Amino acid sequence: MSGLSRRSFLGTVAALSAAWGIPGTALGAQLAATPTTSEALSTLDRTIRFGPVQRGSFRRLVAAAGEKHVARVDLLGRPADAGRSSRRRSLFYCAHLSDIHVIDAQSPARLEPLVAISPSLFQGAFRPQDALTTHVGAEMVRSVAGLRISQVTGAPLAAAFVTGDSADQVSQLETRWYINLMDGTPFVANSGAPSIYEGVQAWQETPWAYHPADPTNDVYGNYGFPQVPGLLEAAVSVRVSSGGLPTPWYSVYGNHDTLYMGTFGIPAGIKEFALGRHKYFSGPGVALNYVQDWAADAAGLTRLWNFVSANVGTMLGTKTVTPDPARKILEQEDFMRAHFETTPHPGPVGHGFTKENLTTGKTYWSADVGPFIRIFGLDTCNQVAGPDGAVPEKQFMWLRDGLTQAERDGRLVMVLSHHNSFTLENTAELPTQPQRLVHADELVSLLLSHPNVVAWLNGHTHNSTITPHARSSGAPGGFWEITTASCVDFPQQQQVVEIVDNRDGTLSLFTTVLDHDAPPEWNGDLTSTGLASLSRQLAANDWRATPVMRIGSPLDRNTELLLPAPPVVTSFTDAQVQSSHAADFARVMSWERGW
Amino acid sequence: MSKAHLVGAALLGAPLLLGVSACGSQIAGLKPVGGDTVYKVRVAAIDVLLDANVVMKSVPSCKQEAAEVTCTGSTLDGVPITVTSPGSRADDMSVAVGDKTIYQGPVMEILNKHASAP
Repeated sequence: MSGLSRRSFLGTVAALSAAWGIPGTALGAQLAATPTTSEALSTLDRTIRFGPVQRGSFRRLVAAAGEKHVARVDLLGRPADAGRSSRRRSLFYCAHLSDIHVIDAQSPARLEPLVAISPSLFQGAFRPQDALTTHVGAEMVRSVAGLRISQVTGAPLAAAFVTGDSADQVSQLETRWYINLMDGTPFVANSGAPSIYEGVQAWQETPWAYHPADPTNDVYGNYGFPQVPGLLEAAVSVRVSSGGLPTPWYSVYGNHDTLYMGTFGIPAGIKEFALGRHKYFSGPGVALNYVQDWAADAAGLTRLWNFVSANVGTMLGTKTVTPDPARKILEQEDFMRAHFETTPHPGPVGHGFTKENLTTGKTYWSADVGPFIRIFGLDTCNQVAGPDGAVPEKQFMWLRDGLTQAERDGRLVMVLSHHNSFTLENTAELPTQPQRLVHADELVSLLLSHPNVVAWLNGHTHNSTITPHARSSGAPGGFWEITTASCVDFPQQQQVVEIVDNRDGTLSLFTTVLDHDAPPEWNGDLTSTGLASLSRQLAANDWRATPVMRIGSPLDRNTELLLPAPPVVTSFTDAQVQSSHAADFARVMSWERGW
Repeated sequence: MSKAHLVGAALLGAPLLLGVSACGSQIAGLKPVGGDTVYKVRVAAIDVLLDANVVMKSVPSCKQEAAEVTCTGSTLDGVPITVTSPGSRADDMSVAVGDKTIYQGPVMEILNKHASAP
C-alpha cells in the first residue's frame, strides 16, 4: 500500500479489525497483497444465449462465450490512451440493481386477466414466471456478492444501488421480500394458504396463462412451454435465502413502488380487494370495448379503469382464495418506512432514506459513500398517475443546490433515479397541488452544468442502454447515463459499475453485466436456484416481451465509458483511495464471516 | 441528445396500463406505451456496425417521427453513420457509413442472430 505510510497502514488495520471483529492478520494480509480480481463469473467470462428449439417454438438457453469490455469514446471524442490500464486506480466500485419486480403472484390485487384483453398492451399484467421472482432476486444478490471484488481492478465493492420497481404492486409483502433479499434474511415467498398456490396459473378457467402442471390447453403450451408438475407448489414453499449483499445498499422509488400497477393512484376498493378472498380469473368482457381507442388518447383506458374500479366489489369472474392481511397495499411513505425495518448489516438503516424523510414526507435523499462520491437519490415517480416520470420543481431546486454544494465539497456525483431520460416526460399533476414538473431536457442541462457529475444510474425500461450526455458548444466532457435491465423480463440481468481514474486526465466507467447465479440450462431442479434458472428460461420464451431485443447491444453491456476527468479528481490522494479500499475490504471480509 | 422522443422510449415491461382519472391534467400526462421499434432498430444497427468492425466516435442515437425511425452517429474518423427504418417497411432497416450501405434487410433477423449461440 504505497499511498499509506507504514504507521497509517498499521493504524488502519487495527481500527478496522476492531470495528468489524476480524483478525488483524487476515485483514493486513488482504490489504498488503497485490489486488486479485474475483473468480466469480460475470458476462466477461460467460454469456447466456438462445440455443436450439426444445419443443414447438420454445427455445433452450445455453452458455456462450464471454464479452470483453468495449471502449466508448463518445464523450472523449478521440481514441483512449493505450497505456491507461497500467496506471489506473479505482475510485469507486458499486453494484446497480433495478426493476427487481418482486411479485406476490397470489395477491387478489393483481389483475392478470387484463393480459387476455390485450396481450401486447397489458404484457406486464401476467408473465409465465410471475411466481418465481423472489428466487431470481436471491440468485441475483448471490451474483452481486460473487463479484464483491472487481474483475477490472481488484477493488472491493463499496455500495449497491437499487433504482426502483423493487416491488411490483405497491405491496407490503413484496416490499418486505425485496428487503429480505438485499439483507439476506431467509423467507418463504408465500401468502394465503401455507404451501398451496392459489392463483391464475392453477385454474383451468385461464387459458391465457401458463399452467405448468398441464399447459396442454393454454397459449403457452401451444407455444411449447414445458410441463413442470410441482412448480407452483415449490415456488411458494421452497425457502428463499440470498445470502445478502456484502455492501451497504441504497434505494429509490420506482413507479411500481408507489402507484397501483405502476400507473394508477390507489383506489380504496383495491386496498380492500387485496386483503380479501376473491381473485379475478376473468377480465370483464365489456372492458374490451374500452381499449379500442386507447392508442388515440387515454380516454379508453380511463373508462376501463373506472369500470374496473367500480366493479371490483361485484366478484364477477372471481374465485375464492385464502385472504392474507400481509398483502396490504402500501401508502406512499410506507415504502420509505419499510427500509428502516432492516438488519444492521450491511445497512445503512433506511437505505438512503433518513428520519428526516419520514418526518417531512420528502421522498428523495443524498448521501456520501466513501471519500469521493456523493449520491443523489431522486424520486422521479409521478405520484398522480402514469408510468413515466418527472422531477417536481421543489425536488429539482433541492438537487440544484445539492449539486452546487457537492462541487464546493470536492465530490464526484452520481445520480440515481428510476426513470431514464427517455421516460421523464410525465405531465400529470394534481390541480389542488400544482407544481411545475421538470422533464428530461431540463434535468440533463442541470447535470451538465456541474462538471463533477459523472454518471446517472436508472432503469424502468427493462433494457440495458447506455447514453452519453455531452456538453454543447464545444465544452469538453459530460456524463454517462447507464440504464440497467430488469430481474423480471429476459435476460434478467443487472450490473456492476466502477469509476476508475486513468491518471491521464480521463476517467473510465466500467459497466459489467451480471447474469443471476442460477445455471443457464434448467435441469429439472425445483430448488430455489433451479426455480431461478427456470424463470430465465420461461422469460426468454415469453414472446410478448420481445426477449431477443432485450439482450441489447454490446455497447450497452460490458463497456468502458471514457470521459475527461473532472478537475477535482487530481485532489484525490492515493492514501485516501487505499484507506477507502481498506474499509471496504474489511466490510467484505466481515460479510464472508457472517458479519 | 437525451430527449424523451429518442431511442429508448421503450417503455415495455415497466408500465402496464395507461390512463386514469377524471382530471384533465392527469390524462394529459399519459401516453401510450411505445418505443420498442426505436430500441430494436438501435440495437440491430449497432450489431451491424460492430460486425463490420466500424469503430464509432458517436454511437448512433435514434428518434421516431410518425412511423419512421432514423439514427445518426459517426465513426472515429468522422464519417457519418445513418440508419433508417421507414414506416412503410417498419420491419426493415438500412445502415450506411458515409455513402456506403452496409446492411439493408430485416431488423429481427439481426436481433435473432445476435441473441443466439453460434
